[in-house]
Amino acid sequence: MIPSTIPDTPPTANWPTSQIEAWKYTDLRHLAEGLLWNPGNESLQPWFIRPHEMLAYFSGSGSPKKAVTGSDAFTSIIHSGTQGGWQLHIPAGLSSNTPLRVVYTPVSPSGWSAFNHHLYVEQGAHLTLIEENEEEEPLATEPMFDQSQDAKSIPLCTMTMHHLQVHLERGAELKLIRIFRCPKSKAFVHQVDTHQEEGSKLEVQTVAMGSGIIRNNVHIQQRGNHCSSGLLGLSVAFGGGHIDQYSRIQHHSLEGNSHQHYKAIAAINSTTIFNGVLRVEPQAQQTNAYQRSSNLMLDPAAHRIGHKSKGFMRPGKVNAKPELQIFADNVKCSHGATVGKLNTDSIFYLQSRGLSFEEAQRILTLAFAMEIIDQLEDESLRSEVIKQLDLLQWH
Amino acid sequence: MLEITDLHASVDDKAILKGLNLQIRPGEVHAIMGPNGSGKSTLSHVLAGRPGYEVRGSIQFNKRNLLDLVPEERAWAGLFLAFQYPVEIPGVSNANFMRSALNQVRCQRGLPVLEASDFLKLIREKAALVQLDPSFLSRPVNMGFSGGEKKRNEIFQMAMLDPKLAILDETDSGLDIDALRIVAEGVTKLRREDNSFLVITHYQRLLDHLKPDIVHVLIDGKIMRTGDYTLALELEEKGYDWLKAETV
Repeated sequence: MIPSTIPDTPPTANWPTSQIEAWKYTDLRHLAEGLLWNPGNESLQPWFIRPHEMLAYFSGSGSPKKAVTGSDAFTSIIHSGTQGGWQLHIPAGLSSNTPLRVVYTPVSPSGWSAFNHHLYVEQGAHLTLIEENEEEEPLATEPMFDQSQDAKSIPLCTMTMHHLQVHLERGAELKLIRIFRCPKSKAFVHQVDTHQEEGSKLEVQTVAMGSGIIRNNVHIQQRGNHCSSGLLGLSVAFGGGHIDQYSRIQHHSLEGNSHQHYKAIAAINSTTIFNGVLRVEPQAQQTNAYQRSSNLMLDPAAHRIGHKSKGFMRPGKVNAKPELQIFADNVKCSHGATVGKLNTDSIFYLQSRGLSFEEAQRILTLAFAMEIIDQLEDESLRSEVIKQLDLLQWH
Repeated sequence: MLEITDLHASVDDKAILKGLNLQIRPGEVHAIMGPNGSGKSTLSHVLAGRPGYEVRGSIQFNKRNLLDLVPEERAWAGLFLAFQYPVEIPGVSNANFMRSALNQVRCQRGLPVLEASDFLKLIREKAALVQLDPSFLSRPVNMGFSGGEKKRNEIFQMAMLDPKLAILDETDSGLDIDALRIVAEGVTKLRREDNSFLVITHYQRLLDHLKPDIVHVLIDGKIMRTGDYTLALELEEKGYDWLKAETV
């Protein structure tokens, strides 16, 4: 399972910094300061896969059939420091109703770790893959209105990075559904690079929540005609959390379509980011692309604890940055971004029915998130996300 | 039950209520009529605790100082406001909303939380009271409801929460004749010796159904005239100008 390419010496590659536009809001070099590299070893395999019968599909160790590695700063650091990863090969025509679940378990030593995974879906094969990371401490214990500092100003004890390279052959279909959680003083960075061939379909759905730092990159290259890519995202940052969702979709071929809908909730002292790059190359005529980002900031001024609290409080912070680069002339591309607070009339309405101010906020915030949760393609994940959000302390 | 003494309320330094006095005893139905801009809705908002008003004076509600209570505490104490413009809440189903609200209110009143089956029974019974289709229970609160459905939903919520004092803020506006009758009949069925209603309206038609015990006329932030039901008939006939003239 562990590729033989594990380096023996700590990598020296350059970290992406906020000088790079794509990393403007999340400076990895700054975050990695003071963190040592975890050299990999054979026993270190911080993930497992369910259900077990699906293990038959693993192609085992060795180099992947076709790598789609990019050459940006993040991939170079992750490849220079990789401690292994999983590889999965779905044979042509295979389609399974049972989703495959990859669970990343916490890496025990402090420091930074990097993993590199490959998924190859052959012609006409269909797969649903669930990716999630496990944390030792449940997020449920974390208060939604914690007055602690920004996660970026707390020294990290671990930073875990995953790079998943996906190749979809002609007519292949992949649903990639993820829940990423991150508690305080940890960082979780994930990047998926997808290469789509003709007529392939991709859905990437990501729920990211926590009071630590999460960066989620979704990169898509539509190389064949008639490809379709759908991205759905929900960020819930609280207790000083910092959640950065970044997407880059490149349309290279005819009649591709892509749609994106990201929603983010930034609680007090916390930050969410959506940066969506859409690039339509000159030959990608008849592209139909849509991008939407809706954001909710929770505000201490509206919150009663604002009056009695002594700690530092600032409203949730939202950065929404759509970047559309369109070089073809016969395309339909649109985008929209909204940022708002909870409606005070709605809060008062719920209060007048006997719901506490905090409960009213909780209900309205969950209602905002439900639009995304309802679209998650896996029932067990839907209830898991709702359960997690329900358990957050709002009082 | 409710005793308002010398109530003043202003928004952005603009005085709206200017020394209002009002007393409601258990079992009574009071109506407040008055021209546009006289402060009727402000009174209902101030009673329910809507933020944004500068308030002076005293409001005693069942021996508690209402102005010391936040909106949800007022609801727990038994106050209910049927909104003139009910708020739409996407993503929250009517049934879930009512379950959370009812359980919170019951908990505060020292009552046990309702079992799911009892809750379902209650919700169906109260929906039937205002002839709301049971399918609306699974729809988001007030989303895509017609004007009439929204107002009926308000009365339904009132029936669910069983308040001591219900304020109906222009519940009749925007209702057709049939919906008005349904709402009025629903309210009439909820009347008891130990609860009271404060009905804010422009029109006599609702009062024909509800038969208020006492009718007040609110002009320029003060109660200018108090009488029985015949006062409503007189207003319907003569309008407000004669009262305004008396004020001057």
